[in-house]
Amino acid sequence: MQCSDARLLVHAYLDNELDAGDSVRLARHLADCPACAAELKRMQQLRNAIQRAKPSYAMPDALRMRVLAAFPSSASESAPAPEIVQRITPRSPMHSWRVFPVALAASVLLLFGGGEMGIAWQRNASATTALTEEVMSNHLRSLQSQHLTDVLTSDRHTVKPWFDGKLEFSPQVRDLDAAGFVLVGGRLDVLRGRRVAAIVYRRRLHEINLFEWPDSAANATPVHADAGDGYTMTHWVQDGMAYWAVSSLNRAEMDDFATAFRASPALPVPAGR
Amino acid sequence: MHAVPPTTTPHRDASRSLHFEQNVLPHLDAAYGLARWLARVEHDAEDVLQEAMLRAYRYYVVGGHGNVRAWLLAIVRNTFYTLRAQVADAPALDEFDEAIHGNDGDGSTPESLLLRDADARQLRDAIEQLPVEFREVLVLREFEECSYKDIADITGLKMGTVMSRLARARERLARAVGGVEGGQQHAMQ
Repeated sequence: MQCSDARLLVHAYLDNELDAGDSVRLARHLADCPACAAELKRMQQLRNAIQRAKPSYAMPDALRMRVLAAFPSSASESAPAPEIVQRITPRSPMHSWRVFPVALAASVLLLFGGGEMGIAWQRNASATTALTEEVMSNHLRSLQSQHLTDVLTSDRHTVKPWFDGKLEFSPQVRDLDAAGFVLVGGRLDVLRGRRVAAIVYRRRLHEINLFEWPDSAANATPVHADAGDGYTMTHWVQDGMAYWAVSSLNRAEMDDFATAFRASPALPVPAGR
Repeated sequence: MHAVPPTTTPHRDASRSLHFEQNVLPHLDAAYGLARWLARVEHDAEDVLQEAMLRAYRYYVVGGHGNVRAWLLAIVRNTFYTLRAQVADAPALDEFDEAIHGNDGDGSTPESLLLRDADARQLRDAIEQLPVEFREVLVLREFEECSYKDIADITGLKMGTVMSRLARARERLARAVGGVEGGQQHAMQ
């Protein structure tokens, strides 16, 4: 193998894109060629550095809201979007697009029926229904797909750091052993198009999915949402985080869960980004 | 072949919206990330994302896109190029690139040869300053975690070209941040 080929294949190798035959040929070449072996190491270091430097460009909430508001939500029949979708044909250069958010802002106003532009979509009744359904379907999917957890451990000190760099916030992972809820692990999930943390607990044979994401709303005590089919759901807001818990436990036990979680000490949250 | 019924009944639209919500919206963060890296400026990224999502909604066909994430990223990319082409009289972004890129190789004091966490900022700047044809493959691979096949689909490049662009992008990056040879003693953080 020529060095010029090896310099290229080093990248495919690091990217896990090299087939077995080329891997063997590359390995042979690297064994004989310190310069190419050094190149592999150098590129490996660069990749590590890139991953460390990976920014979590969090999508601004206002933008998320504008984007989501532009589509007819399957949950709200009165969504105003179709004519907007038709009407926006980009002819103007990027910077003069500013009319667009105005049109959308108007539609958001229609959708939320109030002048409070900063209102979180979760507080809209129909949006809450949609969220309830989505929490439910995420829960069911997590149980069916053998993908309950990405990180499987009962140690909260392992679960919490696992989320670092995967989310733009630091989720609350609390030890509820004393209350009879065993930490199983955590996973990334998506609710309403936004990445959230799913912390999984278990009591007896019942899995509990606890979804968390930052919410600027005031603290709110647990409210039950009826999920039907024997599932119970409860949600609350505490210290800037929204929580949705869902499981097949009965209501009393879900209450216990919410109470135990809310009462247990928060792990120190690293200083905000 | 059966005739495909028209898809304009309200019921169909509602179910299409639901599919869109469930299959496309989960990739919104990925779409934003790519828009942000390509446009580099927040408000341009917002324009790209909003237009891309409208296009995606308009062109979405239930079950018609294989890898939905790659499909959406391709729309984001195309939207970026379309909008950029429309900004005819604005300073060309790539000329700007080259101006900044002139510092390849120089200004690398021995200290800057070390890639530490503190250099994350520098590395991100260097990525932003890569010409867009290199930046897009790098970002798709490193941040959006796409396979070569996905990147080829998204960009319309051949797989071999994807690999060589990636190699050149990384090479430029390594040079721009002053090489990574000195990183060993700092690897432990």
